[in-house]
Amino acid sequence: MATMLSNRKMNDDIKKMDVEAVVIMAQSGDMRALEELVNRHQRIVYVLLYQLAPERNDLMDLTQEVLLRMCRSIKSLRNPKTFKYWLNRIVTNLFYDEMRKAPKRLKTLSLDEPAFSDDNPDGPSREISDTSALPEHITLNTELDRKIHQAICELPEQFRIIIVLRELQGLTYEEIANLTHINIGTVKSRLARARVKLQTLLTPYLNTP
Amino acid sequence: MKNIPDENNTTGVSEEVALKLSLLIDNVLSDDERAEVTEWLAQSPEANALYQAMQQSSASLQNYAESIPFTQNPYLWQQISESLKSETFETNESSGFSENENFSKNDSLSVIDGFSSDALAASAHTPTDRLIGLPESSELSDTTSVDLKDLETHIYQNVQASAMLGNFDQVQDLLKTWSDNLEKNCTLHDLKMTQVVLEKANMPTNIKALKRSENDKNSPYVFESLLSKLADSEDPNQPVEINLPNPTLNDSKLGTAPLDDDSDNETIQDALSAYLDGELPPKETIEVSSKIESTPAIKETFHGMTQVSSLLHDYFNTQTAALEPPVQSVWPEIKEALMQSPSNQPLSSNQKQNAGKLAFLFPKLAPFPRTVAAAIAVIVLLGSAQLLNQSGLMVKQSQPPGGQKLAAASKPVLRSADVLTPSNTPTRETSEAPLNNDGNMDPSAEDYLLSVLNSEQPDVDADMASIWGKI
Repeated sequence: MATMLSNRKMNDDIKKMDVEAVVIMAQSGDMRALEELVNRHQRIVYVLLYQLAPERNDLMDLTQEVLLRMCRSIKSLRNPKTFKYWLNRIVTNLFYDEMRKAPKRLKTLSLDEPAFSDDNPDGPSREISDTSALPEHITLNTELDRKIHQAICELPEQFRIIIVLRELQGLTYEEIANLTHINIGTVKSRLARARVKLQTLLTPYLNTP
Repeated sequence: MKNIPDENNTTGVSEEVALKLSLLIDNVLSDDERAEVTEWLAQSPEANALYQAMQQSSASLQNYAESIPFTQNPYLWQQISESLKSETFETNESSGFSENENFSKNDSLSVIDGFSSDALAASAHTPTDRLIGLPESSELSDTTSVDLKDLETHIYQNVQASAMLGNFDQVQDLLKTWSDNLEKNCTLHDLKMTQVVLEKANMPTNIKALKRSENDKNSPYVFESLLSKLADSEDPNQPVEINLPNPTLNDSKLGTAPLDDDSDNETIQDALSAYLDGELPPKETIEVSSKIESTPAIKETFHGMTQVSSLLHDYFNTQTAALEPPVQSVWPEIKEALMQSPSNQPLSSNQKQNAGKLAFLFPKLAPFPRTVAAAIAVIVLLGSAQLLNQSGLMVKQSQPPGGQKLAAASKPVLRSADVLTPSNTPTRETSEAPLNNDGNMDPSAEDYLLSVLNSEQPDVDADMASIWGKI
């Protein structure tokens, strides 16, 4: 009983700790700290991925993949203070990985082929996946939110990732440049282009000075 | 008057004399020329008066620059030109300008301030996006200088003399020549020179806007307006006031420009965006701030950017709070994945310490816990001994009493699978402590973990003895 209480108290203590301290604990192999890191960041990772790739319907899987990569390589993080940046790097790397996978052609399935055969007694799945908005996506309550979301979706990916990293994550130009492997001048210009584009798309919602 | 050129201008001296006087002040004449000009001064009251005026102007360069436009301020113009040629601009007291002071001066000085920073020295062959309106050097990589030296000679020597003498036709021709040259080909240096000229005349600083306005066949109104103003001015001592509309900043597309190739607007937008993010150097921040305050179109664009940024910020905050992802914690799945591949789990500090002690023997085993590494070492040693024994290579005389017994006893345990199975391998790593379904450690495991964490530095010999005992 005493051990359980001690355990619970320690869990509570971890929840109150700064992220750097939790990272250090996780690096020392503390699974509770690792769990705390996962729980603390799963939302922001999900939202970040949602903004980067709003068309994806496997964001939960991607979120899990990001957090799994985080757990597996947490010991490689040299400076715990850079955890947020480091996690962003994992997210963007995964994002780029997924972008590279995207052009792959889907396996075709003949509709004339028998659904069940000796080779495939279970039969192929002919269920058409529902790519409409998932329930957790439907939180854009206001018209403005919808317009902003639509405007972000209309941005080319290379602009979208820059504006998301800047406006959502608050990264500096240098950090964005390092993450996306482009120079700071390009970050600067892409960010400006993205803002102007958004400004154009959202003109009706902007006040004149 | 010996060898004095004809006095055919409003100032009573010829252009040649005025030019030489200017060069005398600048101390760039040869000894012969200096002697000749000195003789002119002694003979001609008009030349002497002009020389005195020029000297007085030079004595208080800063005041002079504020009150007299560049075309009537040869000394200032020469300073700028020389500085640009050397790609550095004096900011110390000897030049009469200090960075902080200059910026608060009128527009005609702001460009000097812009060129006086350290960035100027590096700007000749590096991107110059720090200056609004200047294209990056990469855009000029295929261009070459067109008679730059002659161009400069025309500008900073003849123009200054012509303007001072009120010979505005000459000024007009020179500026036309310059404009034409710029249209053909130019270097970054040329652009800077042009920018200086335009700034000194209170003209727009955007070079490409100037070029585009001419390409658009809207008549080269920028230059023509300047020239017409110059031509209308009869008194060379009167500053030429030119209040031209800024072709770029008044562009209605500025605030709502789509993602097109309008590089002029893009340059301004880049600066505004970086300013918004606080990513500009201090000097540029001041410049852009000034531009925003003084130019309604830029102010409007910046206001729009600020609003967009604010909207996005609010939107992302709302999204982060309102989205309900993931509904449940993803930790159980992650934990399961981690447990399935324990080698990928993070190493504890104890693991690192322990592994390090045998790492010199088995570098590749460094990540393993010490006990595992030690067990492997034993296996290798005993296995080697057995092989040697079986092959007859082992020298029997060297075998200690009881060695046969030891070899026989070791046979059953020489199964790496047995030794390496985590279940029967003593372990101290916290990450491998058993977890219950909630991801929490089993109480007994926690006690064990705490005892390990609180224990003294483990003794390698003791562990080895323990392993030997098990064997």
